[in-house]
Amino acid sequence: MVMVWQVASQPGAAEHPDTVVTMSSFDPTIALIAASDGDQRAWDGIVATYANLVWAVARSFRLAEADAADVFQSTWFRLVERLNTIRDGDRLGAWLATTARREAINVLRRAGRETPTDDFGPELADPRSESPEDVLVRDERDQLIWQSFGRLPERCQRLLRVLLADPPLSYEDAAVVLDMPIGSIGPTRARCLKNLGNQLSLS
Amino acid sequence: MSDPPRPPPLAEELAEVLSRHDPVPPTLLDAASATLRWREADARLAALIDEENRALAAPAVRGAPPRLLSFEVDAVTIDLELSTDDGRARLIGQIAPTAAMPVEVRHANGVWAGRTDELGRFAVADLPCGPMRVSCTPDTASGPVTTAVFTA
Repeated sequence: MVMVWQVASQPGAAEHPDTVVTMSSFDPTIALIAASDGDQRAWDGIVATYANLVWAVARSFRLAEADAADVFQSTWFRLVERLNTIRDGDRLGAWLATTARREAINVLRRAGRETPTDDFGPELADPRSESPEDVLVRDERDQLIWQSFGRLPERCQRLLRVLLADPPLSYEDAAVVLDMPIGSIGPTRARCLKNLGNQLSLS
Repeated sequence: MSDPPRPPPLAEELAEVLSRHDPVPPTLLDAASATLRWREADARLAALIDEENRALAAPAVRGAPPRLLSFEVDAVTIDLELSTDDGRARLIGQIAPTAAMPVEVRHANGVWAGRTDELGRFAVADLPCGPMRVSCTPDTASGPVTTAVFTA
């Protein structure tokens, strides 16, 4: 899994060398037990492993950065509160993803909005995220894909954001997070990727 | 369990583009790391069972309309009215079963400690906005109760 190395390469993560756990030794079930005893290193391993997934779910609701940050933060609080009762590490990713979904719905409801805002998209991406790996970001095809993604229908953006998160959810769990029948996930995914491919060939 | 098939190349490319253009902000990773310090192993967790906005009063007051939060565990309920203004939060609470008891509000910068009156009520103002949690011991036999963490 690439995730941990991406985390490690981000600014800020350098102050937490403990978050760099080797994936081969990371066992979520053991990490949960250790974290419930207050083991910070085990907790940081959990955060490093699943942060990308939780963020992807939060962003899939097209929440603005501040709201997505709320959802992200609240999801980790929910896990801290239930460390004594959650034992199945294999289900941890699915648990975090569905919890993030619930927190996102709460944020939307609190704001009195039935539907997410539109202030999400390539043009509003956090500028901080573009500076560290600037060479790659300026890469032409990279930009093209990012812009084309932003032009996809909202439904496609949501689905791809959730399905492409690392570590991946099973289709069963993705169906819950996306509130879609499991049978339509595969076909919709294929259709959305084809749409993206078409956008790219047009550009 | 049906696992997704191996993604075709465009999906792989897109996955990389997404993680580069919209990664988890590093400050959020640090904040997530710090949430473990809010672990409360010995208290019963009162979960949020209801929340509503008191938008009615909104035009008359500054800041966002107050939020009503209801937490519950076993026979204990903790009702909170949370209002924020200019980065500071005010909390009015009522705990049932009603009694005078010590109550604590943990917030981003520390802990406020006070007491409820005989009717289980308390109020505290000028708290920093951010994560918060209310803890109390309504019944010494059953031990302490703490609300889920909420964000002001």
